[in-house]
Amino acid sequence: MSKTEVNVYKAIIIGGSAGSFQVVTSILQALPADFPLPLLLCLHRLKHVRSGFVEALSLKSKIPVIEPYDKDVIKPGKVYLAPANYHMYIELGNRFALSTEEAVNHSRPSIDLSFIAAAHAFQHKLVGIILSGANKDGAYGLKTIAELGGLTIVQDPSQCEIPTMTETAISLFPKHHVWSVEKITNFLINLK
Amino acid sequence: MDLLQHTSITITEYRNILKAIKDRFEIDFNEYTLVFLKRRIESFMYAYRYASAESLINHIARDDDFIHTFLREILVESTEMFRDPSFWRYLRDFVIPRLVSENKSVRIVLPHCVSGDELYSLCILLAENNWTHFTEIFAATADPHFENNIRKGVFAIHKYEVSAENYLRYHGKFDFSKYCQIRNDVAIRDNSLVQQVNFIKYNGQFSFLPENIHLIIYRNQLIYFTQTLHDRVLKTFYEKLSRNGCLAIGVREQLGIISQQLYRVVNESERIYVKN
Repeated sequence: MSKTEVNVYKAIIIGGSAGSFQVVTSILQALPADFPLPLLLCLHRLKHVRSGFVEALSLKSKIPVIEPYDKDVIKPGKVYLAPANYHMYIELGNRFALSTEEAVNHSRPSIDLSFIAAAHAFQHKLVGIILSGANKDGAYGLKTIAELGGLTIVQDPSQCEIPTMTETAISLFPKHHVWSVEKITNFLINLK
Repeated sequence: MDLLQHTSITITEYRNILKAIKDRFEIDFNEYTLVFLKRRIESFMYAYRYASAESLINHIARDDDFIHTFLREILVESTEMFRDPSFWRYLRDFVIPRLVSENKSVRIVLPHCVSGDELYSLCILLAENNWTHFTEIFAATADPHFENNIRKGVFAIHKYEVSAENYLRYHGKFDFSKYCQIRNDVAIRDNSLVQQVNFIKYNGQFSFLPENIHLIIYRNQLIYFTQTLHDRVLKTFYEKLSRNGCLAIGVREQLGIISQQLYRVVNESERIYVKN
């Protein structure tokens, strides 16, 4: 993929659940300090544990990892982690909007809801990535990103600690790119 | 309501639906967050089988009871009892003891109740510390349906487990089953807890709130508003609070640049502020 092609992207969104923590950490570790885009993370996490996760993700990341507050502006070169017990949307004006609506797929944050909101906000300028996980959250959202012209990538299920999430995404929409973690990481590093 | 099922509408149609509701029922949703409310209306349309914005608008014009169903589905519950246990601990250990020591009677207001989860949590906190007789509670609801359910002690059974866990982390004095029981697959709360609560009607404005409030609990509601409405609400609260009155907002909410000047921080991580 040439540099002019990748330059169209305005944001990356990654969803993951069980077995995705290691993958996310290794991706964050590999990204350069001047990574040019906002990277949104929607990971399933314990509802009642408010602190610790950001710190764990920050350990090896050269980019600041933040849990956004409601109405925060989305800025390039930052990693945003969906806060515990909230859904994370993207509102007009490139801002986060949080919600305490009902759980979707037994999850809050729900990857589907974040992906759908990001798909509508960024359209074809969005990259959506689904990683290892134990339920079907994210499959519908990733399909929405693809339908609105975004680039969609699924971690190779054979590499996943728990492949349910990635397999569901692929069976719902077989045209997603299925890539190894190495390939995903290289793709992101080269977004300059 | 399943938030993944929806009947798509355009932004123009969305605006027309809000206008129809405003014209007919005098409730203004224009300053709600678009991404949230549009999706919610789309899911509502799917669940109630409105095939198009036009059919929904026609129905709004004809049905007097429409608004009750609509509000029940659209307004978001506070999700569980003792959400953020550390917030409730801080309220119990620091905020309310100060208010009780400084005032003859402490006036506490919850400006918008849907499920009553925050209200019941507060009433348990007060009862366990023998503060009930030193406090006066006002709770506002947007629809009689919510008030009735709260008065009856209705509680969604799927919230039982998480609420009981929260209560444990809050370090309450008893077992959660003292306050909430499951019988025949229905969860019911001890409604004697809310007997002294003054229920008032929420009409979208906050001018109806009483004056001289010592504590306003308004967590996870500003997230559904645009910055304009957000600032207007916080300004009204400021005017309604007594000197040294406190305000609690959700743990991922923020006052914003304008309202920051009206309040100062009491506890940053639990989002508790005091009037300047």
